[in-house]
Amino acid sequence: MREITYREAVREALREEMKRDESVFLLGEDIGVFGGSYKVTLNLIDEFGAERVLDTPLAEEGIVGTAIGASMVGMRPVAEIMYIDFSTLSYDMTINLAAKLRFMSGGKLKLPLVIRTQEGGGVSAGPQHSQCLEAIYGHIPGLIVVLPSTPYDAKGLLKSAIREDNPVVFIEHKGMYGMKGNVPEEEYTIPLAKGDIKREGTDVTVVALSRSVIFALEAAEKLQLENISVEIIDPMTIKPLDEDIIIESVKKTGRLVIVHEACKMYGFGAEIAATVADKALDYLDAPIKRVAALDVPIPFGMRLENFVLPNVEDIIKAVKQTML
Amino acid sequence: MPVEVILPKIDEAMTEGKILEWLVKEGEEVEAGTILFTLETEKVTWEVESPAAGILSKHLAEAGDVIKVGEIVAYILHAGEEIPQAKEDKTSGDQERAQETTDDRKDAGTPVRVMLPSNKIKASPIAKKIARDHHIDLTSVTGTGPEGRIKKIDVMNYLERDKKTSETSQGEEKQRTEYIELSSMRKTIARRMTESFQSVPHFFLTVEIDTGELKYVKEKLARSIEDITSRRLTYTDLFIKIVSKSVESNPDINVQWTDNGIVRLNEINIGIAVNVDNGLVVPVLKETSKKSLAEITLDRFNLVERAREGKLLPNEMKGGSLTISNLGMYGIDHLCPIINPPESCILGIGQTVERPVSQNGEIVIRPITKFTLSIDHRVLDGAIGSRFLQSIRMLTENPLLLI
Repeated sequence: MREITYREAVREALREEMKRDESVFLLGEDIGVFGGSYKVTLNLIDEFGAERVLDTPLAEEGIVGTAIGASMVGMRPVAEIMYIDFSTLSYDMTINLAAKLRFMSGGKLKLPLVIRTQEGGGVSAGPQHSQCLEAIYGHIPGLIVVLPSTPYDAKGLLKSAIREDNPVVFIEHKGMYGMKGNVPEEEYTIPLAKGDIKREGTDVTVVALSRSVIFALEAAEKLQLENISVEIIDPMTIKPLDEDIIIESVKKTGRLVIVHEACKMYGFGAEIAATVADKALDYLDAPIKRVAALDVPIPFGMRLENFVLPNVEDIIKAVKQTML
Repeated sequence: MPVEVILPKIDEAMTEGKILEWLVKEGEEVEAGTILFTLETEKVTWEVESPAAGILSKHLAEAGDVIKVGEIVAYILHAGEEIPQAKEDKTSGDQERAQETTDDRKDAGTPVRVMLPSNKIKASPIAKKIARDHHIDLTSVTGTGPEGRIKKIDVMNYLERDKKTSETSQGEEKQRTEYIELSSMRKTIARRMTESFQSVPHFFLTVEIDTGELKYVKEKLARSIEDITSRRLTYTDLFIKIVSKSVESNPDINVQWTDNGIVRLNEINIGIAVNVDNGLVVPVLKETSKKSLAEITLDRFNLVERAREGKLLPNEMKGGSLTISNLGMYGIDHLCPIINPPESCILGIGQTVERPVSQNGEIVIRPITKFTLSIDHRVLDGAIGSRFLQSIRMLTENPLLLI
């Protein structure tokens, strides 16, 4: 099987869906001529033209607003918000309109839009360019929220997201764009709202998101040398959440560690911990552990940033704590 | 949905009540709050209100019926509704209780583990669950988790060890013991003796009786009794005669304690404890005070023979005024028998021993037998018991008074 990068996988998904369905178009800052700030949309404007690959002004609210309007009249826009940190500017559109108009119209309005964005740190991008804010979207009823952790997942999930008739927030990770992985040439999609067992194990369940999945896999390899068998669950879609896959795993292992790069407080980990404590309490043999960023703005300096963000060692420590 | 009308619990102690009068007929319409019937308890008379509006169903209990708290006495129905299928509450309840008692019996051999509330013990949820499921007391489990927290593996290890020790001890026990199946006679004896021992306040009076004269009389009468009955005269027959006469002259002894009060018996019937294969039965000779010694001998012989063959009829084992239990032939000096319920007393007779006694200031050797009367103190006191025993002694030591 061929290997392509995460960014290439995203690009392929966009290309294939745009070829497949004329109503699919892209809009965002610097996505056309410039090819995207992370080069994800490179050359797509050449293939599909400026009417289907729109360079927008610096106006997040307008971008999402336009996407909402276009989707309401039958288009399938894929809007890009360059950094999830900037999406704060488009919250009103996303939260109060995109998430709700279908409900408020009694189902008459259909909003098949995708908001693509990227999150994460580890590249000294500073506090306003390194955040992980999926929990904010996860909190809003009416949105579907997806975080792929591999090129294979990215392509399959994005295609499903574009074909989905409801608003999807598709969150990539800036640190993974260069990551290589096996991606088949044949057409495939990955269903939304279903989790994936990234690694099977018996001693501990590690639920991880986005780039944390990669760290968790690394930690699992190291822990295996100490005879600790780690099972890694990647939910992929955090909303709607595949609870069953997580609970089945916890029932098997009796131990749970949740890893995400977002800050700990009010993060995705809290939701999983509460759900498992509710639905699988009797299976737990140890307290539930969360590995997450410290609750501080992400530092610019490399050493401080590494200190703040969760890494492989942190995951190993947390797993061992549950084994005590 | 039909609404249940149940017999309400009016006060803490109430377990049942009597329906005095239905104030609403079957089929009549009622409002919520309409008084349906009046109820009498030990303490009060109460008006029971309808729990809902609707039509009163068929009365499931009648005026005068005594009903347990919580039982359904009627339903409030809406148009077109019917009383739900009679619930098998009673039978299922009995089944559950029956199951409980079987389980209790099974566990009777193993030591009971007391479950302590585990909120003070640090244990993981799954450890607690496993402990619950296996009735393990968490205070006996050592925890190896942080701060001594009990983990799953700690409970599993405990179970393993426990299983091993109980397996070995059970195995040993199996070698040492062997369970005997309970015959219905044994079950009956167990039940009745337990009931008697637990609920009847026994007290015991013993006299030493000189049976020399009785022996002399027995020898004299033996031949003629045998001629009449073709059976051998035994001491039992003589004792039956003596005891019957003693009851005649102490009619206050011929009573029984019942839940509804003390009952005086109209007949004098004497039971005799008979040892049979692996057990004991008490055939009862009826109206012995009206029978001659020969008749008693014949009666006794027949009953004992049928008793040994297991052919006694139910009414041949009932109705005794008291029972005589003679263990003299087993070499027992003195016994304190357990009363055969619902009789008021039981007479235990020991063996005859030649002993030195004082008679007219001189030591003589006389055959002495200990008679012990076990008495139900609810219904008989020491005085009457003593008088009765004295009558028995008088007649035994002076058998000619029987004429």
